[in-house]
Amino acid sequence: MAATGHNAAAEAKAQGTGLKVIAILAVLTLVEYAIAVTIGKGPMLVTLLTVAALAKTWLILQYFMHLPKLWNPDGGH
Amino acid sequence: MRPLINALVLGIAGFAFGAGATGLFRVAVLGREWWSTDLSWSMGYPFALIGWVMGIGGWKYWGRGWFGLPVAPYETTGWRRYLDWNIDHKVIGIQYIVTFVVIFLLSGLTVLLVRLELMRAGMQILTEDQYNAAMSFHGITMVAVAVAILLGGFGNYVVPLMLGARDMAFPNLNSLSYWLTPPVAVLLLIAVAMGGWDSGWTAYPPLSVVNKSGQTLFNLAVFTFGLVSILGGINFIVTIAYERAAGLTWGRLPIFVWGALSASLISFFFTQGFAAALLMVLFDRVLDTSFFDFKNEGSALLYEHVFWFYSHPAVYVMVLPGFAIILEILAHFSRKPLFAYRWVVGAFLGIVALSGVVWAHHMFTSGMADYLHAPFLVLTEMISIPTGIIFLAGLGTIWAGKLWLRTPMLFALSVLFNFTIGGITGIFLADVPTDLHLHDTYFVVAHFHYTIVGGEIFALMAAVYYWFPKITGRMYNETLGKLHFWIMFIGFQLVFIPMFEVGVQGMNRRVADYPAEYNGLNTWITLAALFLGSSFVFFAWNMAMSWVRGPIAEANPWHARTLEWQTSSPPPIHNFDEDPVITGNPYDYGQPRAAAHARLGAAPAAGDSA
Amino acid sequence: MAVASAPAHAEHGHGSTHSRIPINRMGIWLFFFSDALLFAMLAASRFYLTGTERPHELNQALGLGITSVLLLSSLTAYRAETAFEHGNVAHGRAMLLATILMGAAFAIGVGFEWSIAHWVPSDPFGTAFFSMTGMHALHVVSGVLFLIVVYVRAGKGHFPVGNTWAVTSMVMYWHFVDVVWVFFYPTLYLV
Repeated sequence: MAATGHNAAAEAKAQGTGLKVIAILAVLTLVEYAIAVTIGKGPMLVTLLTVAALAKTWLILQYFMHLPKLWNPDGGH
Repeated sequence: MRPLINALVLGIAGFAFGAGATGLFRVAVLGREWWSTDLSWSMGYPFALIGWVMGIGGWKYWGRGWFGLPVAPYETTGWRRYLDWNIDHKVIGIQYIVTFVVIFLLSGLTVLLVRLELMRAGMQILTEDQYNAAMSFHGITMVAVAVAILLGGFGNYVVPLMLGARDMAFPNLNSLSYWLTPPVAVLLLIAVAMGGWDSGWTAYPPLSVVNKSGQTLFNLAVFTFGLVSILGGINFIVTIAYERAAGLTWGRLPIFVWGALSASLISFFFTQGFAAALLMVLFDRVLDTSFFDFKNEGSALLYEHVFWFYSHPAVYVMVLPGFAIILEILAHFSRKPLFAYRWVVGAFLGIVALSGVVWAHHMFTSGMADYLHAPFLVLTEMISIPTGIIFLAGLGTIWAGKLWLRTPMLFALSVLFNFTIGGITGIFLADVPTDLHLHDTYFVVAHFHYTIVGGEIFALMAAVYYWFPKITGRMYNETLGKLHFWIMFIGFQLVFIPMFEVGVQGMNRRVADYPAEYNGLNTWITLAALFLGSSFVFFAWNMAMSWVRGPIAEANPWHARTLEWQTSSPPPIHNFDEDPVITGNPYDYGQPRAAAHARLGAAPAAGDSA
Repeated sequence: MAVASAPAHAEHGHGSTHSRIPINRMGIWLFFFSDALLFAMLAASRFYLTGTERPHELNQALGLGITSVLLLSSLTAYRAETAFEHGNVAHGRAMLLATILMGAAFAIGVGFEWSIAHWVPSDPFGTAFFSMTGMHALHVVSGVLFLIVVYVRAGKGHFPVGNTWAVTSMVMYWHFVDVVWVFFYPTLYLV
């Protein structure tokens, strides 16, 4: 974290991370939708959707909500 | 008084806004009548609550800061700060203790009404509806007292002192938690005035979905109380994690801090269950959903699962701080180190974990799937292992100790006695075969009173007498204290031992009338209840008089080693004149070479008086 | 909420010896966890009441649309937070505004879904659907209100570099609301 004024390079790097994460999230969402229309109802679908939702949650918690800062306050991007 | 008036005015205005807007919508859009008791209360109350909290000082001292506006400074002296938004954990602790002691006494009076009605078969002084209202009111208010008074009251007052902190981690949140409780009490009283509700404190559907509107107010009140519990739990967890004084490692924490932490973890993890259950009942009542309406494929069993998922762990929110307090007191008044400290900590955490997987033992006769009976039987009985460890630690602590039998110690010892009975009778209810006979009889009533009253309220009394000199700066009257103890202790046994018998004979709980063959025992129980109730006259008199003109107490009248006794009575506004440094264990009594628990500034090592 | 609680108190709290940010951070995470349990209870009762059946055909285009909007608003919220942390207030405010607008769009989308729903609340799926989306929408609307406050305050220069906890905490709240929808979307639309 830059504590002293504008640090353009660091900011650009952090914003780039955001773009990568949202791209994966978007792909996962489309995959969810696609398997739901193709596979049809059943335990297989529930399992796959759960896996996808957990993956999305991990991405958001890890990169958007900075979960690791909870035990490592000075870490992060 | 000004904050209270502001709060009331804003609260009523908020209610008028919420209920009025809803009424307008109903008239203009739906073309119905503007007032519908269930819906109007449900929509008016949240705004009333916001108005109340902001009026009492939430806006003036806290909310303005959210918008970048300057906030007002807090009062630091005078009795007015007890009727105002204040962030000092000692003020909030006293607010909790006084409020809930008053509710406790009120609720006790209510149950005397219930007992008088039950003195003979047939109906004498109450109607059936009044009986239901009184019994339900007693149930929920006592549950609230049991959940809040040890953690909210003594936890708030003592935990930061024991940690050597200057305050809780979130002082404003702490004040918010307290000021959410008066609306709960007001709402419950209005509910009683509206004719009460007849579903007890458990609010089982389908009854709770179709009964009188008092039920809606009950749900709103208890939902608010759940919020109090969760916010308080979060505050304790963060405080204990972050606000420990230098050198206060986890292994040196006084056991009461561990008890408060365990109870906070439980209320933090599970209270949402109760909130969700009550919210679903509310949805069923006002939004016409059918979570529990079997006509529309809803399921009343769903409620019992969600409800007990919280409400069984809740009993550990009640008793764990109680256990922790009596272990404190047993160690200090036996002048011995606490026996098996690490095992006790493990047992507390074990209870936290196990408490979440035993809920369905309340449902053995509810018609849930048969395959669930055996696992819940086994898990429930497993919880007696950590409980037993705590109990043995208590016995090990007093073993060969030099017992100092002052009032707090008497109460602490009585908990060991009472909880033995409460624990052993619990086995009959955890076992499916015996529970099928005993379920919903007075055996259950006697059992949970032995655990909650015998385990927690006796510990509460121990705590009141133990910390009274610290909190008020004055000493209570020992003679009156002992008188209170003996009447309460004997009266308690006389009330609840016969209740086991009348339960085994098959008398149902929660009913206003019963077959005449139970007359004899019930008359006895009612007379004993009056005797038990009389003990609180001595308690109230002792507390009121001693607080006003008891002899001035020393800083450390019990010669205890823990940190809260190493500062003046009552403590100064920031608790310690200099930040304490922790150098040893809290309970090393009679250990000639043990380091003192704490060092305060340059002063000589304190708490080494054993 | 555990935000911006105690500048006045910091002097006689431990503010002088350690930063309040880790304390606030732990508090807000505990709040999220606790709130998540309420949503989990609602989701669990949806499966308890109707199993993995979905008796009604939902408007899939609308579902995917509002889900995408909410997901995208998490990105703008992230960009806003990052910009504020680096002192880039103008970009941060623009991204906050985008987040607010997308949040409002999501809420309107849910409202539209309610208006075209051809099932009633007393139907078991309707029970789950209306209570889950309703409770979530309540969080979205409150999140939008919080973000508006942050947006206005940011315009007054209240959040210079090093003092952006209010932005961070509200953005975290926004992500939390998104995470809830990550589970609710498949639970209601796809299963």
